[in-house]
Amino acid sequence: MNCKEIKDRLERYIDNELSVQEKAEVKKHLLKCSTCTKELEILKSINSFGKIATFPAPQPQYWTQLSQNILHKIAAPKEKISWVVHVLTGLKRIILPEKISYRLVGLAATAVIIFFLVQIFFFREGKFELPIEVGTEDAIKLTEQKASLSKPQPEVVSNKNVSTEKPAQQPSETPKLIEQQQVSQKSIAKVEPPLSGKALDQPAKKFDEVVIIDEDKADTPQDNVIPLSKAPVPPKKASKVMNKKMSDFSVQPAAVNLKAQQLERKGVKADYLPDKATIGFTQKLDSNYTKYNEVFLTAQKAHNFSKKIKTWEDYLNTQPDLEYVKKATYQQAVLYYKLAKQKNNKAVIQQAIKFYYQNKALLFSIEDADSVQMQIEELNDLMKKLEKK
Amino acid sequence: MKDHLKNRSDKEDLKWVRNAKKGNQNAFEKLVLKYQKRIYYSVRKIILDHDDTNDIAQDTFVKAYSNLHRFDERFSFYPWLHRIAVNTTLNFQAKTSRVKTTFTNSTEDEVNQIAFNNENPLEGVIEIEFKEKLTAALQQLPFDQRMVFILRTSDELSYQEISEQLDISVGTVMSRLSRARTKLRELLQDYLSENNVKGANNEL
Repeated sequence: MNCKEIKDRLERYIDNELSVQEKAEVKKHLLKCSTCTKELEILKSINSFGKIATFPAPQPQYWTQLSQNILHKIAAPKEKISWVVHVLTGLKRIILPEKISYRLVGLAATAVIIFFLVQIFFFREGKFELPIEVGTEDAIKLTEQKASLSKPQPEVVSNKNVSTEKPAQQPSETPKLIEQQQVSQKSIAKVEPPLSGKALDQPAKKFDEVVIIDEDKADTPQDNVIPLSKAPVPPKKASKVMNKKMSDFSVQPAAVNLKAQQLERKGVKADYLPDKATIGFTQKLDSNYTKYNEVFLTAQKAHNFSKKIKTWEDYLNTQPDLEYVKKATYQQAVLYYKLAKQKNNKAVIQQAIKFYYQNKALLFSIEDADSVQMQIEELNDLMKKLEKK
Repeated sequence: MKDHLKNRSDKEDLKWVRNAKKGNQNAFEKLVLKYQKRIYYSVRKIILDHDDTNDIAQDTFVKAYSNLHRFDERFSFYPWLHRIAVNTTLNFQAKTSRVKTTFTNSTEDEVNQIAFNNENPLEGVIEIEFKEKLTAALQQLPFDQRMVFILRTSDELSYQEISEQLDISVGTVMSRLSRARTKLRELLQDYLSENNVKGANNEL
């Protein structure tokens, strides 16, 4: 048998589904062929995944709860039947002779309904006025809301129109106009940060409009950065909406990324990228979703320490804990760093570097960013040495 | 006709089963206590979500209790119970084809135990990272493939047994299994090429 035939049978071989003869043939081949043996090893590892896969163990008391629940369910039907039957038979005796009373109840009910119908009929005019009033109030409210919403927008639009149409004709005026535009964008950024309650309490249409403005802002990332300490704490109502539209929020990661961005601009960005995969990561960083996701995953890791963060909502509600998240991430990074130094193994170092790089936004935003930089450089040196060997 | 009653465990089970059939709930409790963890983890690997697993595990035992009279005493108890669990899981999946986004968070307790109380906390971190990735990879498998893969590798059922339990052909079992392995291989390549999977090779 050749290698191809063997490879086709290897899966069944490790699953113990071959006939005795086939098994012997495969075994014979494996003794000679190293590539097939390697393949077998890989398959064995994959098979072992099913067994290795473990899950967070439930609390110890869960098991007693589980068995109690089961036994309760088993015991319940019998008790219920006997109890229900007793009650029903009892009720039957009581109810049967008093069936007339039900008719009375029915009569009373119809009387009440008729009474209300008559009332409505007679006071129709008064009743009909109400909805009209409500309608007008609503209309007023709606117009007010629309007005308040559309206030900031025209500024953007008008400024933009001016800046895009006029430059060719009157080039001397453009600098001022651009300034105006930037100012207006800044003001909008302050007025309507997507995380703030105001924006989110408004209906969906308005929400979308906010997002559109947000996209405009993305062109000038420096302008919309809000200092970490002043990062808006989302109201509880809002966070539900946010769970649905994680990708629409860019304020937080922008703030978190600030330091990393600054460092990158200085040229720190680094040759510490080990492979193409991590370079791809920078490109991914551009989308808000991954930024957020990254921060969240880190927060999740931190939750291993804090036990607080389990959902997006939790995370957003613990905004003040961002410092804590950063600390926790740093702790974990240092663990990786130590491990990498201790093991001096390519895979481990690569993993450590990857961790640093994936969480750079958080890591570079701590005060001790220099030590982070040192650690990364040290890891890179280790890596280079190993590669030379 | 596979498992004939050989060992003590089976005899013990049979005693409890017979008593439970007579309506002795204490006897059934003993069966529950003996097998609940095994059933839980077996289902958990397929369903992945704790709450759903909890529901399925409870249903499994309740169904087992009400169908005890159908249990063939010539065979072992656990495979029978496990079959009920598989059925319940299938029904559950059919009913709720919703997609749950469970985060594969290595648990707080696990991390604290391994990473901070251990003598070598650093190795623990890597181990947790791997387990996280593994769970994530399993999550990415389609339900059908994951189920066959877990039944084969974790519960160690034969192709024939799987095909009977899931009511599919042996050929389908093999193709699902093969696809699951290919996918896992893709997803967990890092851990297969390097010698990171110490545990993996040691266990076999």
